Amino acid sequence: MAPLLHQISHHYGARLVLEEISLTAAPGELVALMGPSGCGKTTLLNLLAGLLSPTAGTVEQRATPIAYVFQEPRLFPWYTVLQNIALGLKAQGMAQRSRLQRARSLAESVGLGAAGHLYPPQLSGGMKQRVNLARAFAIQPQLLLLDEPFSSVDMGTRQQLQQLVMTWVQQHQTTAILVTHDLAEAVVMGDRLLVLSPCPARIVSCWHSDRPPHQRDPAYVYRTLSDLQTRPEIAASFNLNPPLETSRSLTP
Amino acid sequence: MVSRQSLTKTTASQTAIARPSRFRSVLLSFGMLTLLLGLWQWGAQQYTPVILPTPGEVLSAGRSLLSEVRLWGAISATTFHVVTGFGLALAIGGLLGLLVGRQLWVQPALAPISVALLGTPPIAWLVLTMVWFGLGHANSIFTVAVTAGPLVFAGVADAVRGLDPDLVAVAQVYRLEGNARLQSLDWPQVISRLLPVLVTGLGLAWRVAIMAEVLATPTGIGAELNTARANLDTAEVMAWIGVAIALVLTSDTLLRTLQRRLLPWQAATSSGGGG
Repeated sequence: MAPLLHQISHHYGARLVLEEISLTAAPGELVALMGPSGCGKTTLLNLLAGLLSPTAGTVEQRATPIAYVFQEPRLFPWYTVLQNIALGLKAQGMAQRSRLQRARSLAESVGLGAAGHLYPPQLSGGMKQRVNLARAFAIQPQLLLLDEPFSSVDMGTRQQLQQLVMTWVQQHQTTAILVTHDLAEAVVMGDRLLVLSPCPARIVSCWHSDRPPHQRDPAYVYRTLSDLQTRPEIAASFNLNPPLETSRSLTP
Repeated sequence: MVSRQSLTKTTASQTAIARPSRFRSVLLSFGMLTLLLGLWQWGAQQYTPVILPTPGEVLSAGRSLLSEVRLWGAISATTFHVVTGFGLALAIGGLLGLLVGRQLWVQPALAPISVALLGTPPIAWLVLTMVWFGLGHANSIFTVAVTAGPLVFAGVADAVRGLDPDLVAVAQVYRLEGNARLQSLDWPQVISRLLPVLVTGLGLAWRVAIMAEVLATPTGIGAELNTARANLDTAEVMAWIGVAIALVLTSDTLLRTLQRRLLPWQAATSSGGGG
């Protein structure tokens, strides 16, 4: 286990958003982070990416390179699909020919083989998110940060992209931190699930998956989902009402 | 998965929609031009050639201009005024715009000057330049510079200040620094916002230069317009107007071609979108 964050707290002005959060992760592990909206999950990723400095505690992760799959694709509109995928390689100083060659093979692997020459505004939401992912994969990151990357794509695309990420993490032994709002997604993808409390965020629950990614079939996912939803700390974090009591209180 | 077939299908359907509308627009333009020429011809028959010459008379005045040395002299004088004046506007307005874009504290100091300059009509500047410089090249050059300068200033300041913070974050995460960042992020973003401003600014520069020449400069298309007016040669006046339009259109086309060459994604964007 490599330490990533140690006793991190972060303020926006006078408002405390993260409180004493520590995080470790192993290579090849996908840690899913969940919490109510606005609790500071993206802030946590920004701290890991070096986009923010914490007001207290230390960022201990030393992984390099880091890739960040943002919630919105954030593609450069003046670059084609291939040029966008090759962006990180350009930053690393790789020659144009080699980087475009690698971008082409990644575009194929994420299902964009025929779209390499297109510009972002010509792509659908799902295609843009594939480019976003391929851009992250291109630099073969040691640490992969994913901020609700599949929230705006259709169900089929979401499943394909989830599989792509899980396979990549396994094959390349990448450490991945996934922020998601979808408990099912966290159960399918996460080797570990951390639940944060409402603002200021603290880690209130930790759950380990006992199955490797390829054995997480629908029956396992449904069983785990219902088990997790009844845990008091998770219900409290998301302000969930116990289903039976709710229905009783609504009955005249 | 995105199949080559589905992409081809999208392009084909877009072309199928685009074709009749382009044909219709050419037809409409041609029809409107013919109507205007007809109206002009009819109007010219109602008045003397001093008030309104026929299209044929203007065409023959234009044809005879083509064989005269003074046409090229006037074009080069006007071009000189525009290029020098607009060059000054680019240098001074661009530099100040860059300063304001990078250092936000400069903005309150320069904002009132910029607003005052943008609000001053070019003709007011021309009156002042006649007092300051007498009659000569300086009038046109100064008026062009002082009219286009604030436009360039505002455009550059906006382009520099408006760097998309989301893309800046991407550049930071992927360690895009130095020359690579300049090439991949700063330059494309600034140029994509700046070029449309330059197209507008240059169009304005031609109009202002010709106006200044009519009133206060002894050379250039404006000066020739003034001479033809004094000689009551309305056909030649209109021929010179034609020359001015041709010049503005040429410069506009050149700049738009440059824009398409430098910003190929904008052309691609307007030709199709995703679902």
